[in-house]
Amino acid sequence: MRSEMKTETVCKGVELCTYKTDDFKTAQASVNIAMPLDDGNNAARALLIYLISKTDRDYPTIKEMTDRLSMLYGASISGSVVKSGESQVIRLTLECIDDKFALTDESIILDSLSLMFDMIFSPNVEGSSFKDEDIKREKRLMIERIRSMNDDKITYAANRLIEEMCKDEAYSIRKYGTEEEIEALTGEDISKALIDVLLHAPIQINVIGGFDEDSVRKLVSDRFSKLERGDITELRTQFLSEAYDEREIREKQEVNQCKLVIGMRAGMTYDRDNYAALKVMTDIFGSGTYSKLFMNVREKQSLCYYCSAKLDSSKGIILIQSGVEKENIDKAVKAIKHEFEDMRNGNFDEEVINSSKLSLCDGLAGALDTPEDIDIWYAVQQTASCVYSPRELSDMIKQVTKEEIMTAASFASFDTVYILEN
Amino acid sequence: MDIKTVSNGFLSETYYKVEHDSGLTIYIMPKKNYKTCYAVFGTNYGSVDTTFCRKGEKLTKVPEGIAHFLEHKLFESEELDAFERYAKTGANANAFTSFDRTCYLFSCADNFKSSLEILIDFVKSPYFTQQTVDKEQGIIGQEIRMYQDNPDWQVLFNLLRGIYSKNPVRIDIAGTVESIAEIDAQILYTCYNTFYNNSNMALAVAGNVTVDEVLEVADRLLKPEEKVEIERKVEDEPEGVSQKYIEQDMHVEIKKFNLGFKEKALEKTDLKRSVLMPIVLDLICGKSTQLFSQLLERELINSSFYTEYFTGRGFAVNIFGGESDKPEQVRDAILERIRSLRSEGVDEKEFEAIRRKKYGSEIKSLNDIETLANGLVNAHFEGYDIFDIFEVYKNITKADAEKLLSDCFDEDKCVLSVIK
Repeated sequence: MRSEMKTETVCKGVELCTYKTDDFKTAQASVNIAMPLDDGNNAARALLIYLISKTDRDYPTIKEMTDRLSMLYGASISGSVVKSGESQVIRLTLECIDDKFALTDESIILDSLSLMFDMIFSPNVEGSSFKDEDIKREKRLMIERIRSMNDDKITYAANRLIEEMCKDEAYSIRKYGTEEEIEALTGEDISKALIDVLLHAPIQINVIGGFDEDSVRKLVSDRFSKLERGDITELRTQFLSEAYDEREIREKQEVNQCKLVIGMRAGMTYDRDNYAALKVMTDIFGSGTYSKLFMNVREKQSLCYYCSAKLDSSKGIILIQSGVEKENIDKAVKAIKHEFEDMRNGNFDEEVINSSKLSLCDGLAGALDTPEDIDIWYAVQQTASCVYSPRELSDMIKQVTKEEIMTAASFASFDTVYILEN
Repeated sequence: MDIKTVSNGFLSETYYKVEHDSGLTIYIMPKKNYKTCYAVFGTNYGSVDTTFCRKGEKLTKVPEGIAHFLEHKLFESEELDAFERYAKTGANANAFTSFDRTCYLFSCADNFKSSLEILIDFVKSPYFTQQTVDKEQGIIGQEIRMYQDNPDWQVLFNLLRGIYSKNPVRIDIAGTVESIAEIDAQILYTCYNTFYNNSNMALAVAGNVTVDEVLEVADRLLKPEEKVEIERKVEDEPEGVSQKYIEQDMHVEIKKFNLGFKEKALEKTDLKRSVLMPIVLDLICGKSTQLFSQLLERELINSSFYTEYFTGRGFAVNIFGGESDKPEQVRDAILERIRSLRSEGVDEKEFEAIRRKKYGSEIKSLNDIETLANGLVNAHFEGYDIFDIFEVYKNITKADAEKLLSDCFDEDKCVLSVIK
């Protein structure tokens, strides 16, 4: 049987969320550390999370750490960075097999969790500073990660749209920072970033699997409650409910197919504002195969292979993405806007509303079907103003009316069009 | 109808294999406490099947990319298309075409039986007209163009073209804008009538489902079909590679590479080989090797580095891939490592660590109903039982790895593909 996610406060600003279940073959855990994107330390924190995820004091080389993880039946611990509204969340994620599948008698879950916490509390340092050769390696890897993202033109175009559309907002800041910021980091910057987050960042620890609850609680408490936490940093996101004006940006690169990205302001004033209606509206407009963009811009007009819209409620924007031939760009932009006008005018029937609700609720019904799903569902809501369970969200979606969808569409406005052309 | 129960006590997993009267093999794997269910209906037919016939008939050569085109077109029917029908059940539906498979799938939490009905019905009811074929050429044309801008995709296909000179695995799965222009409704029917026969297909369902639910729908919709014997013709592939080095300019900020070794494609799946090869790849340049650390230190690879035993019906390639400003140096270091591993032998501890790691990831895959159902379909076409994999892990030794190391990774059959 599964329980619900249980949340308890370990110490000031540190929450432990446990989800006990024997349904899975594996366990999953994560440490999620959130800070403002624009406090000037985002590059240091991004580098930090990748740096500490590779080694620790007991396993000071990549080889030694890899061997240790292999002996834990291929447990994996990885660092990552996500942008959530105008917060940057750095994450350590752990996956390991459940104790009952070990070929020997040992607790894989507790040993792995302990290893993940060692990365944070006993990092691989010399004196009080990270090692120069490790910093150098991680800087290069980070810079190449940033460059590689630019080589994926669909991602590149989406990032450029955000930079242009939100250029006066913290949201335009890239989650890893810039190449120049990474290059300029010193060992001291990175050590300071670690101390800073341990003292001030809101931290959420998720643990999902068939563990012994008391042992996990004790392990977490032993490590985190020793911290002398200071004031906990408050996280905020600026919401522009309306676009000031419509802009079009065109850039040239050697691409075969032009990448089109359109950014809209969703009309939200905070992250849960009119959330369910906006979710259904965006879905009917451009998410499902019954959506207006799929049915008309792709299927009827054959203008593209992909053309979809998604809502980012953490910032109150809607992003529309497509890939089209150069001579069809204007036609595609016009077609997309035309479909949105239909949303405002109510040119969609009850049938598509039902399809959308069915599909969204069906997806939500399975939203907690794997340890990874459970971890992500609760981790992404760390910075949200209130936490929904899939069932609560499902109930809200079922109640949305056609009028509410039309109203949601009428509050949304077109902001920036970005075109990467050849 | 014959229903066989296949259980594994240690893993506490069970699935049911049904030889249905229609000639279709159906796999059902109920998973308790899962809310969702995943179903996949697949045919043993993919982009490599370009020249074929039904036994006794004349060989046909079809345009490149037709299996993928057919996958797109099958969603349409005279009345509502499949997506419009799924819109009434809430299922999340999709399909994919690979080198040797075409699969139609959906996942859902509710209305499972209605969704399964749609899946079986649309896959078994082709409807192609010239008008709908023409419309699809625009959409797939843009899909092809999208992949042309994807350096990871290009670096792989360039590698395959370097390795194979005749084998159709060298052609793009979606074909080219020119090749798909040759497709018409008649050729689509020819392909359909050859490969979409129940005897050449398999249905697998995993998750929140019972045997009775699946069979109730299957019994109603699936009609017995006369077995079709398929003859596939593949041109003789020379032993050697076609081109040792291939480079394409895509103006990337950091070069991408695929280093590939042409391996012997086996007639029948050798499960032991499939389990061992990824272990050998990790022994050569996995994260736990000195070589991996050295390449990182020498700034020759980054976090994108990976290895893959890339294999399917009629092809097998060992791949080392990633990003590097000096891919030739990465190649030379890997070749050197293979030589020294062959002469010095494999370290017992290292072998054990990698064996455990890979075993752990197989255990993990049992969580995922999508991986399970797809795995059941693959295992069906390749003729093994998914639980066999776990037995293989128990019995492999470092001597097996050494044997493979000496049989494979021929330097003369190695190709480097670079996107700059």
